[in-house]
Amino acid sequence: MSTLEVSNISDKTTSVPAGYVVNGSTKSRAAINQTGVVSVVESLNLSSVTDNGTGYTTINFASAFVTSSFTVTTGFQRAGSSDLVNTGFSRTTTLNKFEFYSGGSLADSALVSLSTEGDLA
Amino acid sequence: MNLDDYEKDELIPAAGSIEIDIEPTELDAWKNHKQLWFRLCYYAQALKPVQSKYRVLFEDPNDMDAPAKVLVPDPRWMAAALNGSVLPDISSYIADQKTLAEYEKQNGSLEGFNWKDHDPQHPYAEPRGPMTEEEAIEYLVQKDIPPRVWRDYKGNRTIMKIVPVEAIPSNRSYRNAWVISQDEQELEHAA
Repeated sequence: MSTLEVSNISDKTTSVPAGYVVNGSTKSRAAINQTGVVSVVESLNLSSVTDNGTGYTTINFASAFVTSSFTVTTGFQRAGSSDLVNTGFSRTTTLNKFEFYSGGSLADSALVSLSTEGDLA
Repeated sequence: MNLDDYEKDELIPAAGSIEIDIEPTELDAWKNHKQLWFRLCYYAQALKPVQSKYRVLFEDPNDMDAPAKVLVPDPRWMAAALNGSVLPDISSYIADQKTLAEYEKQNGSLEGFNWKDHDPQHPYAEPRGPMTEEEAIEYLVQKDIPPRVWRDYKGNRTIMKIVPVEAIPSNRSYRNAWVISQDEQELEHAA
């Protein structure tokens, strides 16, 4: 195996530091089924999830973020339908977890997908 | 030879002409990486996920009107815990929780907290050896459930139970009315 040790990456027009690429990658992702007995379908950098109630789940990270200013991209698929609904977040609790809930009236989702970007501690 | 020894033109051939083969061994350097996240990435590919046969029920003594919560172990995390060589000792997380708690006590909230101004333990602690599934659940309780539930609560009510997954109702019609039964049965609907 070989390792590329470079400070910058360029396409001949634009040059960015290698750290820009490393730090820009997704640090956590999850796919969760909130229906029935809640389960984690797919994941990276999670230790557990907490089922807090209908449509309301907490993600617990294994490796924490450096601040609470990480970004989250997500989509909800409601059970019995294929539409996506809004998602709300609370990330002011701690740096190693965040809570999410479906927008409007809370509802369990057959599949919630999330990815999280930001610098790790 | 280090890449710096090559001329720039040798490094960047004409657009479209470069081919990079990414082999399964490409992540091998992450297997023993000193940062936890890289080890998690490696073992996420190397280990088969393990669905735990346990769940942890708990209630928040600061919000007894809220429904009972259910902690669900992540299957990839559980695989890493059983394998060993990935996760740090729980003491590193507890040390970090203490840092966060002290900051919150001094500042009233975690607003403005930045690990760059402190010394996080868990991302860089030495990986520990394998755990049994029961040890892994106890580890998760200490890591992901507030200490006010598993350590500080002094009341008479049982507010935390480790139960087999079969004890969790699959019918969620009354999910927001779940409470932990104080009898033998694990969960009951308050409604």
